[in-house]
Formats: sequence, C-alpha cells, structure tokens
Amino acid sequence: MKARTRNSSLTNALQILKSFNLEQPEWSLREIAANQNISISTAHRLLKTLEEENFIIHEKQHYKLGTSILRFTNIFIDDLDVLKGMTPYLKSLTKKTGQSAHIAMLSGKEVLYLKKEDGLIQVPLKSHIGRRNPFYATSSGQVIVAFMPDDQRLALLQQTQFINFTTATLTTIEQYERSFQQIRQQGVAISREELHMQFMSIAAPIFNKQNEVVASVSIAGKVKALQPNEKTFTLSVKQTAEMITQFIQKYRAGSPNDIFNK
Amino acid sequence: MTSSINNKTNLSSVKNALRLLRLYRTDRAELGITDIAKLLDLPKSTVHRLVQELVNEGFLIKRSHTNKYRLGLSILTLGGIIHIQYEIYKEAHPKVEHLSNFFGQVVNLCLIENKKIVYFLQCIPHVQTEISTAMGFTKDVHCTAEGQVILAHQHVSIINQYVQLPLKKYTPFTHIGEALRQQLENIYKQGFAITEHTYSIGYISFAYPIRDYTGSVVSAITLIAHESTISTEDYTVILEELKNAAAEISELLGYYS
Repeated sequence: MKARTRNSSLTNALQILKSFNLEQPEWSLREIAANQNISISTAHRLLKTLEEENFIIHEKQHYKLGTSILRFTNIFIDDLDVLKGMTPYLKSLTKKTGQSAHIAMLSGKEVLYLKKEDGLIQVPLKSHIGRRNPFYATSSGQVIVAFMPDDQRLALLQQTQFINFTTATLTTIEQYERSFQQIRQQGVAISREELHMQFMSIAAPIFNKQNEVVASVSIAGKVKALQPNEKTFTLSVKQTAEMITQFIQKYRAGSPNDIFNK
Repeated sequence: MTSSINNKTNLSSVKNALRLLRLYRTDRAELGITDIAKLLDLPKSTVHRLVQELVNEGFLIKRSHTNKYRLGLSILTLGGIIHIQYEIYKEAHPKVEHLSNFFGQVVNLCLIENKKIVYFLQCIPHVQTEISTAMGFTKDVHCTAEGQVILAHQHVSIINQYVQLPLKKYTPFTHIGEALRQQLENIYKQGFAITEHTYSIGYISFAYPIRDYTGSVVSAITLIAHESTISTEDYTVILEELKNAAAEISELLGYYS
C-alpha cells in the first residue's frame, strides 16, 4: 500500500492546479493521482469539482487549465500599476539591445517573471509572465539572492537541492557564494548556459525604499547575440535597473498596489 | 474508505474556495474575511480556514496594512501557462487591433470551452492594451453571435445537445429551443452571424468563424457595438472586414480554403 497524503481536499485541489506547467500543460487522470499521491477516485472527484467551476477542462482523456483563468491574471496585473509603470523602461531596454527583457521577483526557491517585453528577434525561449525557474540557474534569480541579507541567503542556499541543468550549472553552496560575491562587486549577474545550452542572460538588481532587493531586470537571448555586445548590454541592464529602482522608490508609499515597498 | 459525508464536506470546501477566488474582479481586487463571508453566505470561521489554505498555496496574499486579501502569485503563474497556449494567435493581435481602431469598436477573439464562450483576446479602440480586463470572461453560447457562429459549425449531435439545454432568455430577443436551431441553420448557410439585443438590449454583435488546419471551426472573431454608434449601412463593410480578418487568422492557423 502506498502511503496517502494527509492533505485536505482543498490543498490537493490547489496543488493539482499548480501542477500544470509549460513542460506538462496536460495531464491524464492517472498522472494527476500519482503526482498528488491520491487515489484515482479522489483525483476524479477533485477534478470534477475544478471543472464545474471552470478552472479545468478536459478533452478526451486529458485535463488542462481552463481559459477563464485568464480573468484572474488580468485582475492581478491590472491592480499592479507599479508594474505598468515599468513598461517604458523595459521597452527601451528591448529597443537598445534587441533582446527580450524581463522583470522578475523571488517566490520561494523560484524566480517568477512578472513582466516581459519580447525581443526584436524571435528566439525559442520559453518565458512568459508568471513563468517560474529555479533561482540558482538564472541571472535574474542569482542577482536577487546575491543581494539578500546574509542569513536569508545562506538559509535559502542550504535548503536548495541543485540540479545540473547543463555542465555550466553550479552545484555547491561554496561555488554560489563565490559567484554571488562577484555579482555584488559588479552589481550585475551574467549567466551563460546554466539553464539552457546556447542561452545567456544578464540581470541587475532593483531595490525598494528600504534598500532591500525586491526584483531584478534582465535580458535573455542566444549567447552568440549577447556575448559580442556584453559590455554595452551589461551597462544598459544596469542603467535600466537604476531607473526602475528610482521609479519604485518614488512610488507612493503604502499603496495597496505596491508589492515592492513596505 | 472515508465516509461519503466526509467526502461531501471536503468537496464543498473545494467548491467554496473556488467560488471565493471568483469573487475577485478588477474593481474588487481586495477582500476582507467579513466581505467574503457576506458574499458567499458562509460563517466567518469557515472563510478563515479557506483563506488560510489559499494563502498557504499562494493563491491569495494578505496585505499587512489593510488586513485584506488579494490574488496571489500562483494565479499569475496559471494565467501565464494559458497565455502561452494562445501563442499561435499572437500574430492575429495586430489584425484585431487594426479592426478595432478602424471601426472604433471592441473586437474579440473567443472560443467555446465547458459549454461557454470564453474571450481570450480583446482590443478596445485606440487603447494599447497588453491585457484587457475582459479576457477570460465567459458568456453563454446561445445569446451571442460569436457563440452561435461557432456552435452552428459543430456536429449536429453537439448542436442538439445545446439546443436541449435549459437556456436562459436574456432578453425577449434571445432565441432558445427550436427558434435557436433554425437560427443556427441559417448561420451555417450564410457563414456568419449577427445578433441584435440577444444578450443585452442595445448591443449588436457580428461574428465570423475561424478554422484551424483541419478545417474545423475552433474560434471566432467578433465585433460588438452599441446600436447608437453604428447605422445599418455600416453592416456590409463590417462583415466584409471581419470576413477578411477571419480568413487571415485561419490561414495563420494553417487553414487554406
């Protein structure tokens, strides 16, 4: 007998929703049950309830997220005018570099993309608003963690199990601490092929009024497009981060829409 | 085995939590425990428990200075995954935007999901919107031109299923039952749909079907206008432009007529 989880039905239902991702946007009933460690009949009942409320749809034997969930994203983003205010900075960064630009923040052990501006050249880079990546394998995550207070940073590193995505991925705390020190000195993180081969990204930190690192701005693209322009691109990313930092710090304090300042 | 009563309670907590999330709107982005309890007609203690679990899983965030809750980052992630599924329609965006600006009307792309029309792309005239608050919005299929035009092109067994559903008569002009079936047949023959006052009095919508590479009608393009903003002479040119746009978007999806 397989041990069953003790999660409540609600927690199981929410975790089922969260199990949909770009790598696996569709699941079979059997896969969902196995992944959640619940019985097939329980999974079926939960999915049926999720479907009744339009959170999930099923076609033939496969389940996927319902389109009406888009409504929530819109409520979420519409409410964050602090994010909207960053659009011109991100657009100008894309214009200067030709690469896609992102605003990201840390959410648990993952870096979460809040905003994206598509580059002029289409590259098969799977990023989208709301996408999550492991913080340690991307420049946007590394630069945030590098500037975190020592105790928080070390605690996060100690809790992380590093996965070798490529031969370039660092895998020990010592390696990251050395790399983070360099990131702090230079004010920028540059990641080469640590998550995907042939891809590279450059990220700089964004600070709130309390001078805490809250987000990052980054560009990402093919190594062959970024590497030859590394110096000028790095400068552009750093300047953009400084402008966004100023923008955030001036943003009206205590606004309910502000997720960055305290 | 757990008792069936227990299962029922557990499922109702799932249902209540999903309904709780649905309470959020762009003009109601923050809710307190009391607000939620009132809106859902549930005891505060129950709401408290639901909210706690939703917070734990990142579906809600507590705003420390107001003690109210707003949608959390998990929601953002889910929406992003859906967005990417519509990547195929990305190139259609400029066309929809152009039509919207040209006529000064709202133009949408939508499809049928779970027996409802769902809007996944919307352009409002002369407003550059990355996202529109109406995206993800659902409506009944039978009361809109966009719903009817998609439905009219489905297999007769699907049409029969719909027509037999207990459908709501939104206005005296909403067709249901046999009248609806007749209307769907006409729409199929003429290849497009126009509905007047069938969802809301004063509103007229025009819709053309979009086909994918298999030739199946998978979505629709629709222009929705208030009657005071257009005259009947405009109908021809609106239909002409929608027809062209639908053909171009179908081509993007790999359909060649």
